Amino acid sequence: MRPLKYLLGWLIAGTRGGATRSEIIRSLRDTPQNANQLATLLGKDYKTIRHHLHVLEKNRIITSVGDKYGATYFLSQVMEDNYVVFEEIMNKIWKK
Amino acid sequence: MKLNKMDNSSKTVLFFIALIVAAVIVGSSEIYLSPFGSVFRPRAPQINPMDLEFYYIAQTLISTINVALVIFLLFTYTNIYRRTRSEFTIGLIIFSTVLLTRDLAANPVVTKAFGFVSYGLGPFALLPALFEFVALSIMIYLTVE
Repeated sequence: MRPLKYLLGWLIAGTRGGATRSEIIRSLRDTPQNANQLATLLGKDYKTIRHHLHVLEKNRIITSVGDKYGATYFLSQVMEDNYVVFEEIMNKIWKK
Repeated sequence: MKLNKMDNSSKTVLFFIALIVAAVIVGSSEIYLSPFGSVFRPRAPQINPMDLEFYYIAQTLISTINVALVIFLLFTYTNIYRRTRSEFTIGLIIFSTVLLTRDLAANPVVTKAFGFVSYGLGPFALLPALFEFVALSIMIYLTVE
């Protein structure tokens, strides 16, 4: 999945909010949850989390179920199927 | 080999080579074939009626803003690199460093410091800086989004 690799590379290593985005992806893989739970889990501002969720959803990395504020977020099917691509990027980035 | 049988990366390479070849042909035809003379032929200074002072003021202003925008991008990418140690980000840092040198070389303030003045370009004095400003704004939006 080379296009996904490029997209994740940009979203994680090419943008200012990349580190938070990778934490969100990892957390959603463990447990699908809503913005509020993520904010508590990651110790980040609720609005920051909502912003990153919006960007990730716009790029089809995650999907949501439910109404706007209580929505639960999941990894998208593409992301779920290619989670190994994400792990590769993360290993390459933080192990050096 | 038929085009539709080729895999994607050979198609990309072929497309890239075709673009470069086309650019070389168009570029050299300007030198050898142009009925108006080569862009490189020395000419006596002439006044272009379309040459307004406004274009050069705007060009200077926008070029200098562009330098500031590239420096901002460079700092942002350097910060990301400090946290991620990502090769991808090194690429972005190199890209913005080279773009910065380009912008400095093209900045009228710098050109003037080295004793050169550009004139006779008409609105084309302004347009490259203007379009680069738009491109950099998009890049910054995507980077800080």
